[in-house]
Amino acid sequence: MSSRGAASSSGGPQLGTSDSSKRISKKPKYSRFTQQELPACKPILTPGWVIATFVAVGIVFIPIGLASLFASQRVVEIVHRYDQECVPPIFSSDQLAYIQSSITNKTCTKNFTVPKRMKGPVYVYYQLDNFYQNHRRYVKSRSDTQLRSKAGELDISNCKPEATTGNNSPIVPCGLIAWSLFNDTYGFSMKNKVLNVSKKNIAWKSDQEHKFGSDVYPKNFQSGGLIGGAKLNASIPLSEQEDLIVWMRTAALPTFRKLYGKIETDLEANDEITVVIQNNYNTYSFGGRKRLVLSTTSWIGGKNDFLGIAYLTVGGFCMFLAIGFILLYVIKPRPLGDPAFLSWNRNPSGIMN
Amino acid sequence: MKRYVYINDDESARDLYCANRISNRKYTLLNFIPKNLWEQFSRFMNQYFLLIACLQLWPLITPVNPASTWGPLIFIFAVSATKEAWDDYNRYLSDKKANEKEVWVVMHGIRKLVQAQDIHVGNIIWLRENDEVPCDLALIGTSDPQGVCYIEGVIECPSPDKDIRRFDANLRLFPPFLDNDVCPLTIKNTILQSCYLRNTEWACGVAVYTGNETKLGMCRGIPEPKLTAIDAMIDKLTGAIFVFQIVVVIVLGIAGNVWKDTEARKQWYVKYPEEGPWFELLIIPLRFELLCSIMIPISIKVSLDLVKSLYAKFIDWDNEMIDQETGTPSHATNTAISEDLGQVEYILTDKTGTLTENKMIFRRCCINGVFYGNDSGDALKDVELHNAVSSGSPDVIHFLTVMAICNTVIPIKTKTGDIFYKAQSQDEDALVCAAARLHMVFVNKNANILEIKFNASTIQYEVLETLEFTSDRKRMSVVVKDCQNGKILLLTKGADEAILPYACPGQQTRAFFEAVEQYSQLGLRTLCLAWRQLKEDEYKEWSLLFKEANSTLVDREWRIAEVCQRLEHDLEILGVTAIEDRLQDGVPETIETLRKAGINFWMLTGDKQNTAIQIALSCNFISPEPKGQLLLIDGKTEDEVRQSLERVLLTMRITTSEPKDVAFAVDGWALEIALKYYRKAFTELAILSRTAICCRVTPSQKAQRTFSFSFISGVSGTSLFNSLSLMAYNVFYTSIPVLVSVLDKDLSEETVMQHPQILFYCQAGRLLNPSTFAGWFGRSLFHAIVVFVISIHAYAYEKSEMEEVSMVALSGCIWLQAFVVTLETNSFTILQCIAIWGNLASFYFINWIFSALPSSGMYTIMFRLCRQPSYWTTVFLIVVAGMGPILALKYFRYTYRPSKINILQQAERLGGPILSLGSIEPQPRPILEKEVSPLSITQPKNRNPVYEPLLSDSPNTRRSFGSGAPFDFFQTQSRLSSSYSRNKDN
Repeated sequence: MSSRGAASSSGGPQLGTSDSSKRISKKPKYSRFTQQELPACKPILTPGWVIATFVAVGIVFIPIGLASLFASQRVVEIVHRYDQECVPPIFSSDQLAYIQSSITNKTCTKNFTVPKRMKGPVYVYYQLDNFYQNHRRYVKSRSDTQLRSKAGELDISNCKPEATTGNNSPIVPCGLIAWSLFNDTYGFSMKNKVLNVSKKNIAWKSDQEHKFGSDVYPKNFQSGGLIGGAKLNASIPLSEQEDLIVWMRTAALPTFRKLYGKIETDLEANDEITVVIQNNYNTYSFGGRKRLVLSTTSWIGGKNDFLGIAYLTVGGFCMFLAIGFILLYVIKPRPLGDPAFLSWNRNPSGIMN
Repeated sequence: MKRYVYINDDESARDLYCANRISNRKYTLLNFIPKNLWEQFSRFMNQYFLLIACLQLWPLITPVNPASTWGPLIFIFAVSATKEAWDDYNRYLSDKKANEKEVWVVMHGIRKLVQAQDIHVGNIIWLRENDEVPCDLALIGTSDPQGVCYIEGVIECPSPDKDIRRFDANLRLFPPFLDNDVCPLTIKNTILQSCYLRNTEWACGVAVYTGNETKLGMCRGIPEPKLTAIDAMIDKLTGAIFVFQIVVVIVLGIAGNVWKDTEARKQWYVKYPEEGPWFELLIIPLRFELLCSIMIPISIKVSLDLVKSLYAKFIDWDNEMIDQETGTPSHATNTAISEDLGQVEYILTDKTGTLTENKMIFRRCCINGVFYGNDSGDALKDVELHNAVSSGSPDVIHFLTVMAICNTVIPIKTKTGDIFYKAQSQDEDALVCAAARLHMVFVNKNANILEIKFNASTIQYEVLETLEFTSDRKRMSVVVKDCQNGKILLLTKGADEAILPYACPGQQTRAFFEAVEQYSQLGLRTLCLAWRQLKEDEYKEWSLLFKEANSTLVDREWRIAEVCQRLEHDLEILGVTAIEDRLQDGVPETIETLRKAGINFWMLTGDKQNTAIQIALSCNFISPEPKGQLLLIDGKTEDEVRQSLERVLLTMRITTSEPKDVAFAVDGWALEIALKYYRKAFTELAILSRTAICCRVTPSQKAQRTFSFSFISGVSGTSLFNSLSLMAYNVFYTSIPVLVSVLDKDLSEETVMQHPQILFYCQAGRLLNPSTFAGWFGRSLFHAIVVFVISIHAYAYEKSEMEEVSMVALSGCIWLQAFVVTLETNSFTILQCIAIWGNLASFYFINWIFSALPSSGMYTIMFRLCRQPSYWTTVFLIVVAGMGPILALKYFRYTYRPSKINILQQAERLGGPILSLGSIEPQPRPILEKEVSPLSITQPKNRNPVYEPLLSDSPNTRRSFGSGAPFDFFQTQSRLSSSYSRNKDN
């Protein structure tokens, strides 16, 4: 009955498919990629390279730093904070009441002297401190579609809580950003002569041409119970409302400057300038500050020493490191790749540890 | 539970047992989507991503477009699901092929072709040579003449289980014979599914187990995906990041709420409503959670899978990892765990067939106290033995007879008249061949009649019983009847301790003990041969018992062993054979390499302790005195073992500080006791010792050993980074830019603006341990601060425009990241360059495209920035300020606190000679230098290949390493599993 022959031939069980037979004698195809033999550059951190890098960086950085610092120093800047001064002394205990009242006189006159010659164009900025234009609720509260064309007038879904008026008609431009448009104004005069401040071309060309439609006119703007900021002339299309366009380019930081206008003429040193400020904008409720800034410009922009100082610091640091490494290299030379440093050549218990 | 198989009566079984339709499928069409989703969502990371994606659906809190999470999420789920579906479809196809295969079924005496899936339990299957067996069959006939062709009966067999070594069944025939004869069936009478019929013209069998209930079907299953060390680490770190994230979210959330109530309420331009909804407090924390969610990049899973399969592919592709003989390339079957290759700490290896070739050669023998082959090393060339054979010395004749017929070998005559032997065990093959060379030729096996040709005369024996070899008994015997004189003989061969104690009283066995000792010292495998003449009555009586034992259903193996024991005693020892099991090519070198790489070895073998030790010495497994020290754990009783174990442990503890290579050897019995009673001590020993030899272990113990290993390695915890991990590392590098470029798309500018550090978390994918992770984390934080501080200060005041500042910060991140990857990359091939700088270039390219679209939010921004000198100076500043300290730190560590890898990198790149004999093997250093220096000077170019693995992060050198170790390692793995079934005799 028993027949052991066949049983012995069965051998071990073979799992699954017979794909092992397919692979037999199939040598894998040779290619540099599959064999991981692509020609490779294998740099290592030799002292020479590292020190040279640091020296080179130092040599490049220090001149750039000096140049930026120099450029920044050449910029003439007049910064004048006026939010406190422009509140009459009798309201100093209740500034909020002053600013919110519609009957108080908001006009305020300031004089200042030009310290150095300012070559035109002189840029006039207003600077706000502690104003969070980057607040999430605030940033999102706008409708680009609506701003771009008349057809998008009803696209106000993001604009809450400034989307519609009481009777549900859409506000153009809608949203908190537009609603809170800055509304202080400045009138400049020098030697009793009006100093012309150009309000043209203060916004980005691209915004005027593509982001703010020339067929979109303000509608129902600032008509609600609570007035936020400036009102807009309903007969001027949004593409021409440059103050709005500038304002709508939200700032990333709570301290920011926005362009108010340009003085195209040069200002000489010791020129006395009188500014008549209409102090309308409420920064008093949240402790914000308002400044008026007159500034020239340079290749790095406005007056900002940061880049120059940072470049000098980093460049100096690199030089310092380079010198340190050179000294270290001279005092305590250490050959690269010395197998005597291999732990198993030193430490008998080797890799077990 | 038993099942009754009615032969040739498939009606009754049709309902009881399943048909032979096999199904390896994991899913059906209907359950695919829910089941697959369920499986995918059982991973923490996926749950997390789903949560984030759901949160993003809430417009009130979402900072970015929900598509930025849903898109990738759906994509990665779709990719995983598609892969699963494809695998399952392939399984379905192969099932279908197997199910629709046509096989011959004998029904009521007529042969019919049916599809394999229509086979039912009880059908008689008729197979021809080279046919695949469609289901588990109990064999009832073969082309051998004595076969039975048509029967009816019932097979009583146990319910299906997965033990492929056991099938304890009985066959009753219908109509019952007078004595209702019960035929025992064992695993030897079965042929299992998926085997192939070879060397037999045809065979008939009754289907006993079908479909998924076959032994094989019970064994297989969809393998659970294994978590690699890196996976586990990433999971852990993901958890850590998650905790960190929660902390950040809570802190920022509270701060945000406080700020909102104190400050933001005053900010009229934000127009906070007086009364918020009840969940108002939650909104800010949830928003932060969403912002922070990018800390755990969603694509990490896809990237990892990609990297893993690429790595596995590199293994498959490697031209150096092929078997020279057959040209078979290596194949990584599991792509998911390929990078764990570098984390291997322990290798448990079987000796036979893994370390050795499993090609046995008869070398020496000792017949009745006379040693043959001692001088020449080959008994077959020993003139004295040939003389003894030709002079007809009865001891030698008996010895040769046992060699020739005490086995289960089948001689096959080819057309040319040569004889081949088909043997299950290589030892038997070696013995039969050796006997043939000594003129005792086993010519033919015809059913139970064996034909032996000795010097022109033919002797016939009838095999009465075969007492099978089992690993517990460690011997096998045959009972044969000499057809010439009718004498009944018991011929036995087996391990010395299974034979020598049963020598007949009065026989001197000392010489045999000595022979065994001597041979095992030489690393040879020994077998003792013995015989005994049986009386007719004794055999008859015993044979009844044996038959009964063979047909028991419960504990059959044990019963048989007991019955066999009754016959195998009072043996006349004939002699000892010594067989050489040659080491495979390159085994010593490979083992040395792996041991230097810090991998611990355990050798498990069934050989004698001495043999095992000799083999271990010869393959560099352990070092000879005085470098090495081998400790033995033995003892027969619990107490002895305990003492021995404690002694060894004590020595171990002392010697860990000494430069000695300590290994221990333990035999099967002591191992069992140690595992049973002194687990803790043994575990400590296992951790202290780098090498262990377990000899005289049975396969089941081997399996147990392997099992208890997971326990031990759990204790040791820390993983070593060794040369192999560099290969994994290398591949990681090549894919990092891929990883990065995939991730970059996940980020929106606004998010980066608020949390610039997120970008760097994407690189967390390559971290390997918590300290590297901490390093990365610190650097990311530093870079985040650098990017943030510089961009807000450089772009302050009138330049503080949201889109511009965010783009400056993002550019800073991208540039920094390019430099970080560059600094971390060790070798730049064209691919790395493309990935790193192409990534940077594509960043600008994509942003220019977006800047050209009037409808996009960042219209003209990028053009505007690129024209500003301050943009470029800022980016330049970010790069230098970010990278300067990193480079300085790295250079300092690289030069003054180098890791081993660094040193070797330096040595390699500078092209100097590498002192290659410095070994992990504990050696006093003076000796090392004495040995090493001259060699390295005279042969500066002849690097020891052993060393190169540590240099292997360059593709070129890695290759030379690949030729040896990994290949063998793969073999080790594959053979480890298969060798269990093969070496039943070792």
